[in-house]
Amino acid sequence: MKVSDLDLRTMLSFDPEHGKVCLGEDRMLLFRQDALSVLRRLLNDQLGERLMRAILSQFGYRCGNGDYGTLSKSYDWETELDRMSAGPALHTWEGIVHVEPTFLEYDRDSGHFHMRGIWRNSYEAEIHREIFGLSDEPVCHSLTGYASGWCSAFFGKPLIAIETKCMGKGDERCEFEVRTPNAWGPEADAWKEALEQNDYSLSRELEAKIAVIQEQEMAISELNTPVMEIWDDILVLPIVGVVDTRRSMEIMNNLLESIEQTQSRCVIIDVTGVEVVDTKTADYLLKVMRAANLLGSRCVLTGLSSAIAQTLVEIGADLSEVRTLRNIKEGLKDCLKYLRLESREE
Amino acid sequence: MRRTIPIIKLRQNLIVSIQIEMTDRLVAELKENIAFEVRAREVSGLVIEVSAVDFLDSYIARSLQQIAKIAACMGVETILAGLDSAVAITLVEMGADMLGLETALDLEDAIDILEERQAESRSEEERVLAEIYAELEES
Amino acid sequence: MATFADICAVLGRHYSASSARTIARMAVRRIGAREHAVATLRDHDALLHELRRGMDLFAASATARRLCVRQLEALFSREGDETIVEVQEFEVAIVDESHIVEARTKARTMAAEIGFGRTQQVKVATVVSELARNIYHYAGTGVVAARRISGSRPGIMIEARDEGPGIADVEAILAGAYRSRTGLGLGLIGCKNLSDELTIDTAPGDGTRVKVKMYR
Repeated sequence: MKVSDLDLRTMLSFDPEHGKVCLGEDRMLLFRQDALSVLRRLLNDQLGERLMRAILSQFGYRCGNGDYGTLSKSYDWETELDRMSAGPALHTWEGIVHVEPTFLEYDRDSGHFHMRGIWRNSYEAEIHREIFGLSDEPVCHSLTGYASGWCSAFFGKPLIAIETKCMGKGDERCEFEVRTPNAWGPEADAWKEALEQNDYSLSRELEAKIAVIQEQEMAISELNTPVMEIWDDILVLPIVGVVDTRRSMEIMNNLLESIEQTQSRCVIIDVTGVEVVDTKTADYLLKVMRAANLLGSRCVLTGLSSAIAQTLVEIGADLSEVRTLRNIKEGLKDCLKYLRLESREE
Repeated sequence: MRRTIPIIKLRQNLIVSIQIEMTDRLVAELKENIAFEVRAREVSGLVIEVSAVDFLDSYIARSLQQIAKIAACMGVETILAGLDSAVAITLVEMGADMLGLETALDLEDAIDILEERQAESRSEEERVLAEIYAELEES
Repeated sequence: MATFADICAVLGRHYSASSARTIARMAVRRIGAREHAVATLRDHDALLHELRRGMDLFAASATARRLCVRQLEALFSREGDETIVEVQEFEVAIVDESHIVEARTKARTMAAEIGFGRTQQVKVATVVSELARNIYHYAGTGVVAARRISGSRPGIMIEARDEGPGIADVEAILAGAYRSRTGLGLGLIGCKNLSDELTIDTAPGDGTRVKVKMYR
C-alpha cells in the first residue's frame, strides 16, 4: 500500500450496534472541539501550565505511537517512506491538523533522524487562542506529542518533535522539526521535559502540592492562639489570620482557661494580624470579650486597621461597649494604669 | 482644580478644618483620608473644625459621626469644633441625636479639652510607670 | 379656610389622633364655637390660645409643641390670601451627585431673596438637600423645583418629583418606625420636622412626589 492510497473513510468501521468506531481493532472516539477546549482550560486552571503541557504532550504521544502500531500491523506498505509518511497523512485525516512534511532524512545504522514539516489549521492552536489569546510560546503540545510518538515508533528509538513556529503565538502557520534527543540543544528542553514527566512524577507533583497545603493548614491550626501573660494580671491574645466559628471557639476556650489559671484582671486582644473583620468576626470577638468580662477580666481591643475600622462602622457593627486602642503598647499602658488605680482604691 | 481637605497634625492631635462646600464625594474621601491618617500617625485626638461650614444635611452629619466612630476604633477621640448656630438649630430640629458628637465652641477650645485630657493621662501614665520601675528595682 | 379637620391634622402630626381630636374639641368648645363652623371663625387668636392650653396638657416635647403652634399659626394666617406664584424660581434635574449641591445652593439663594433669616435659609437648604439626595439614592434621577409663596406670610414651596420605585410605607417612615441602613429615612423625617407642611404622594412602582411648604 502506498501512502496516497490511505483513506480513513474506508479504514474506519462504524459499529453503531455496539456504540463503537474502530480503526483496525482499536476503538476510536469522536469529540467536539469546543469540549476539548473546555478540558484544556480546566487543565490549565486546575493544574497549571506546566502540568497541562505534560499531560497534553503525553496524550498526543500515545495517539501517535498507537496509530503507528495499528497502521503498520494492518497494512503492507510498499516502501519505508510510505510507512513513515502514513503518520502525517493519518494525522491529517483525523482532522487534527493538515501536515505537510518538507524534509526527511534518516539513517538507521548511524541513528540519525531529521524531519521538518508544516502544520496548517492546527486545532490546538485554534482553541488555545480562543481561550487564552496569543501566547508567548508554541502551544501545539498534543501535536508535537503525536509527532514524537509516531516517529519514535517508526524509528524504534526515542525522538523528540518540537514546534519552531506556532499559530498560537501569532505565526502564520505552525512548523515542526524532529530529531533524536542527543541532536537537540537546549531549545528542545521544554518538549523533552513534557514527555519525561511520567504518571509517577505527575501525581507526585500533585501530591506534593496537596502536602504543602496540608502542612500549611497544620501550621495555621497549630499557630492557633497563644495566650501570653506579659505582666502580672495582664494577658495578651494576639489573633492572626481568619476568625471563623471554629477558631473563635478555640480562642474563647484558650482565653477563658488562661484567665482562670492566671486569675488575670486584664486582657489585651490584638487583631493587628487579622486582615478581614466582618460583622460575624466582630460578633465573635464581642462574645469572647463578654465572656472574659463575666470572669471578671477587663478587655481591651487593639490594632484595628483603618480599613477594618471603616468597614466595621459602615456595616454598623457596634463596638461601643469595647475599649479600643491603637496598638498593644497603648493597650498595655491602659491596663497598667487601670490596675494601679484599682489597687490604689483598695 | 481638585479640592481636598487638608489634615494637619498638631502635637498629639489631628486637625481637619472644613472650609469648602461638602459634596458627597468629598465627604467619602475625607472619611477615608482621616481613617488612614489616624492609623498612620501617632495621635490621640481628632478635631473637626466646621466654623466655615454653613450647611450640614443628615448624610453629612452621619458621615461625621462615622468618622468619629472609626477614629474611636483606633483609640482616638473626636471633637467637633465651631458648629455654626444656624446649622446647630437645624440639626436639632430635624430630629434628636442627629450628631451625637462631643462638641467644643471653637478650635482653641477643642484643643484645650483634648490636651488637658492627654496631659492628665500622660502624668497618670508616668506615675504608674515610675511606680513599676521602682518595684522592679527593688526586686 | 381652616376647618376642624385641618386643625386636627396639624395637631395629629405631633400628638396621637385621639389626643389631637380631644385638644381641638376642647379648644373649640371653650371659645364657644361649633366644630363644623370653625372655618368661618374670625378670631383665631382666642382659638390658638385655647389650643395651646390643651396642648400643654398632653405629653409632647417642647420642640414639637413649638413647631405645632407655628404650623397652626401658618394654617390660620394663610386664610384666603395665600397664592403660589406660578413662575418656577428654579428647577434642577438631579442626575448626578453634584446636582444635590446645585439644588441646595439655589434654594438657599432663593430663601435669602424672599427674606428668610439665616437659620431659616439653612433649613430650606437642608430640606432641599435631603429631598435631592433621596432622589439621587433611591430613584436615580428626578427633579427638584421651587416656587414662591406670596401673601401675608411669604414662603417657599419645594417640589421633588421622581419616577423611582416609590415608597411602600410612608407612614411608618414618617413615624420614625423605619430606619434604613443608610440613614436616609431620617432625612425625610428631618424634612417633615423642618417644614411647615409636607405632603407625599407615592406608591410602590409609581414614583414619589414630595411637596414641602416653608413660611418666613
